[in-house]
Amino acid sequence: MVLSESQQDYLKIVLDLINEKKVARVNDIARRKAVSMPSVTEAMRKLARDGFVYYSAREFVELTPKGLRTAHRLCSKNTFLKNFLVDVLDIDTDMAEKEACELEHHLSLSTLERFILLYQFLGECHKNNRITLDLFKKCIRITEGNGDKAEECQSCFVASNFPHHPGKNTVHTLLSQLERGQEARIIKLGPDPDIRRKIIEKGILPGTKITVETVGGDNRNFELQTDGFLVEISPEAADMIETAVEQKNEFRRLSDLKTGQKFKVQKIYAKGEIRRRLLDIGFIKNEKGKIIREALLKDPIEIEIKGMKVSLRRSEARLICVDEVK
Amino acid sequence: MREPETNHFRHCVRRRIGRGKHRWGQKRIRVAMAGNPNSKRIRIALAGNPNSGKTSIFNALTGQRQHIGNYPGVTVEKKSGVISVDGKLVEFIDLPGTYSLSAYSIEEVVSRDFVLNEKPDVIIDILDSTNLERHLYLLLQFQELGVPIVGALNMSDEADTKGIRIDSEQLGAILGIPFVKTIGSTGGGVDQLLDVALKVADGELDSNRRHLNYGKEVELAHNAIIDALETDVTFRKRYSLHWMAIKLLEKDQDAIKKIKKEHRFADTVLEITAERQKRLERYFQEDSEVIIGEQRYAYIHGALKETVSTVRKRKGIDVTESIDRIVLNRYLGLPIFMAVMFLIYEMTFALGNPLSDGISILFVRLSRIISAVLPAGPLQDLLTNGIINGVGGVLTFLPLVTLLFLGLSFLEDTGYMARAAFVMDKLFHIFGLHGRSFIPFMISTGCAVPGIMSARVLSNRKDRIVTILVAPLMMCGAKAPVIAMLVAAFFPEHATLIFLGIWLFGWVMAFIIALIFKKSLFRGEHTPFVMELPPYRRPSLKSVIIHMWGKASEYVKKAGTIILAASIVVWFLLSYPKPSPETIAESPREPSVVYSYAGRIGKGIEPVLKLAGFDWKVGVSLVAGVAAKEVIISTFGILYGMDNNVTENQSHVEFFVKDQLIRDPAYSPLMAFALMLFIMIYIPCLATLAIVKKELGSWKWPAFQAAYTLLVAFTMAVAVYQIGGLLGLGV
Repeated sequence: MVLSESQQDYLKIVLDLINEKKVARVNDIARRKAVSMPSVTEAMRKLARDGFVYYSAREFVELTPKGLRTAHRLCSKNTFLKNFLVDVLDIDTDMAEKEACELEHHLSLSTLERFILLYQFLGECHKNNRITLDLFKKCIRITEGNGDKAEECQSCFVASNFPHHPGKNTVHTLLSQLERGQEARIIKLGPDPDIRRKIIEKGILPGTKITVETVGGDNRNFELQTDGFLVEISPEAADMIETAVEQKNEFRRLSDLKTGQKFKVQKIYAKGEIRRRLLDIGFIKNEKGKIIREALLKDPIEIEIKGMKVSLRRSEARLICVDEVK
Repeated sequence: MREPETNHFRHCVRRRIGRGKHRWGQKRIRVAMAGNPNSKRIRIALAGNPNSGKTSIFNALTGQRQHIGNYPGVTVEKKSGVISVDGKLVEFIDLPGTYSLSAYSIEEVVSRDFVLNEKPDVIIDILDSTNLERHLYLLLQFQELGVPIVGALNMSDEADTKGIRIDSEQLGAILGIPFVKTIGSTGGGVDQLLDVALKVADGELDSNRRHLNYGKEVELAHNAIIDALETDVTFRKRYSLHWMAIKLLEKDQDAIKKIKKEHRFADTVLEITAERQKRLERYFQEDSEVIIGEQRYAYIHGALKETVSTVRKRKGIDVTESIDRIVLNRYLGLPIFMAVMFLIYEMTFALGNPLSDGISILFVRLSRIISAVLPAGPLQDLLTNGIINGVGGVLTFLPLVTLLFLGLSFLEDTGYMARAAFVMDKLFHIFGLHGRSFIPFMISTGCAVPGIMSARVLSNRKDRIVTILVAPLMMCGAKAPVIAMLVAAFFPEHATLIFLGIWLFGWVMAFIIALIFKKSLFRGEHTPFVMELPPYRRPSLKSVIIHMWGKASEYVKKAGTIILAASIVVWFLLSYPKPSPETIAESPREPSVVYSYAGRIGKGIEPVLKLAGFDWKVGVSLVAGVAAKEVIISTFGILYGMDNNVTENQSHVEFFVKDQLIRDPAYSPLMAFALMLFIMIYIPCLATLAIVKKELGSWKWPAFQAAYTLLVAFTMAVAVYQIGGLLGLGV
């Protein structure tokens, strides 16, 4: 199924709207694409027929899994191209945004991959003042698997310290090192060309924001969430993808708090029965509580929540993510 | 009610209301067709969170007329009571106290299955007025089941003193459920509660015609799933689709199982559910389980905002917190716990043992009278040694069981039990056990029968099974004299040290085997410890006594019959077949027990027992010891040719046996040591096995227990005897 340019745009807009406003309404789509409502309706009907969206008259537009996949791939491509134009070619943001939209429809996957490599190459090597076209070509050959690994580019595509978009407290780590629930931005795809291509096809490009849903390892895939879309990544690939993690200090595990500290529940990582118990007993988002005391060997701990005193093992408290309250 | 958003939605709402009418309408017709409505029993189920004062309301409603049993197929206790109101029979069923109605614990599944399958006429949900927010959470889940509900705003006196004002009428109007204020401890408001419940049962009062609104997005998903569920007509009749759809959205395993088994288009339903779940999760960026939990709490929060006001801030001291500051103090907690446990132990055994002895003396007298009246023969033997002995055996435990449960229900009702678990949990958790396992362990050092019954303080079944399986390894009151005699006979120099060592050995083995079971048979996720520490409350004497009485009568009726039957079987094995006249003529000094089945077994297994250094006399005594551990001594006595009539004087027998054992050249200290370890571990006594069967509901567990203890005991004894022999120790 080949989508027309305008259909691709529609999908992107729907995804954007869903991420921004939680729902995509026909009138919002029309406004954003600067077309009339009937033409949006018409386009949505077509997309619905092809299985990209759920749509029936006067309802919100929702993306099907297939639509979501496609839209997400388009969006991450767009974001990357925008970054490329701004960071590398130093084009101003508005222009970059417009042209990225134009470009994305025409770039093949392999060309896109080269763009990604160039982007990474420039980011990696510019501080060494050794950027030459020859070196870049050599690097490409190496990553493609032909050609000796040149002495001077050992660090290429492998080492860390990507200079673009440095956040205030960002730390660079491999994707495989992230914990469940952690948010990160993709910095660099690994050196292996096959795996890299697969990752690009899944819409994971430099600049993509992800949240780790499931930590993999030992033949279990990692599950990442990007824009509300789940992507599976093999453990080998996760070992190669480099990410930047914003260090957040305010989120803590309940087990790390001291006696007498107050907290606000953020998220429960527990699964199964424990999760259910915690929910039922009132550990829901933004619920406030307080650690009252701990037993002789610092375990279990007593907590006050929803007007009730509850005892928890430390191992259970570790599965609750909280915000410290002063 | 709500604002229908789309055509589709409006359609759903209309149809749902229609369905509701139809359902209850149908029921009324059924009632009417049953003929005389007075002949029908009205069934009212009592539900509520733990510590909501459910038991006191149940007691106030039913008084002494209670029946304790089990829910079919599971060992969850079911209390019920029947009273008559204006000539109509009203049955109350006490559902287990739970916080929720998920599918994770048996109690919760039992509660909801009861409502789904038995369809009680009304559910009375008992709520703690001082903490409505959390207690209404359960009420909403009963509401989802679509049954008529009456809410009892219990502990309204406490709420008053705390300055919490509840507009019960307004709350009732919002939730569509009538509410009645009650005071469980004094029985206040209970009559009115009953009145309202009966009116609802008769259909005079409306209740629960309305479903709570989970918010637009969830409702859309919910309705889509209901539409999918409706495709199967028979399924539609069996379950409340409203409830089923919510449970599916919550990823409830039990509901999914039911769908897979009973719905004709299970695949479609599950597919639609999965897709709707995904959409919801994307919208809320949360798990659907969390979403629905949050929506429920949000709904409650909204309802309470309009109906509950706290007039003045609570002043003065928080009693519970002040007590906890001492009782749960990091350093004082453990000593206080030990002291409390010591008190319970002392109360049970120091008070109970003289009573037990009194009962057994009574039965010995009775059997003497019967032997005097009846001519000697099989009938007299059966009556005195079989039946009276058996009944006596059952009743001697009765004071212990009664006193133990007096103590335990006192602990439970005051709220200390949860604190005990808090204090002890870390230590026990190392061995995969729950903090509360301490209680059955400790009681078992007195007697395993009440000890195993006290394992009920463990709410989780796995924890309970493991605890019950290992609790009899403790040195109990019956093993103690046997061990003491052996120690005195073979280790007179270090008697105290060895005895203490053996006592500790029981504990250590219990912990080790518990750990092994937890790592092998009961592997898997640890059950959550998440547990409420309820406010301290003064226990009402009435409920403690009702509780105690219930347990005692339950013990006599259920466990007693099993113990009695088993004692008769053992008596038979020990007395039959009788030696023939010829054999008596041949060896007149040989006691008749040698010829019995038990004796033959003991003799038959001698070659095997030889590995541990035991001879046939030990074998026969050990077989007899399965009946009760103290029997080991008297059997030795009989085998050494002691006159049967002297066996009543225990100390005399012990002295005699000790003397004989020292003199017997076949016995070495090493063998005695192996024997002590064997006696500590091997097959628990019959009464214990019977009570295990009763508590765990199947013969599988006592059989397994007997098998594994025998295996461990034998391996242990052989290892000690053989290795000790090689090293030349105590030969």
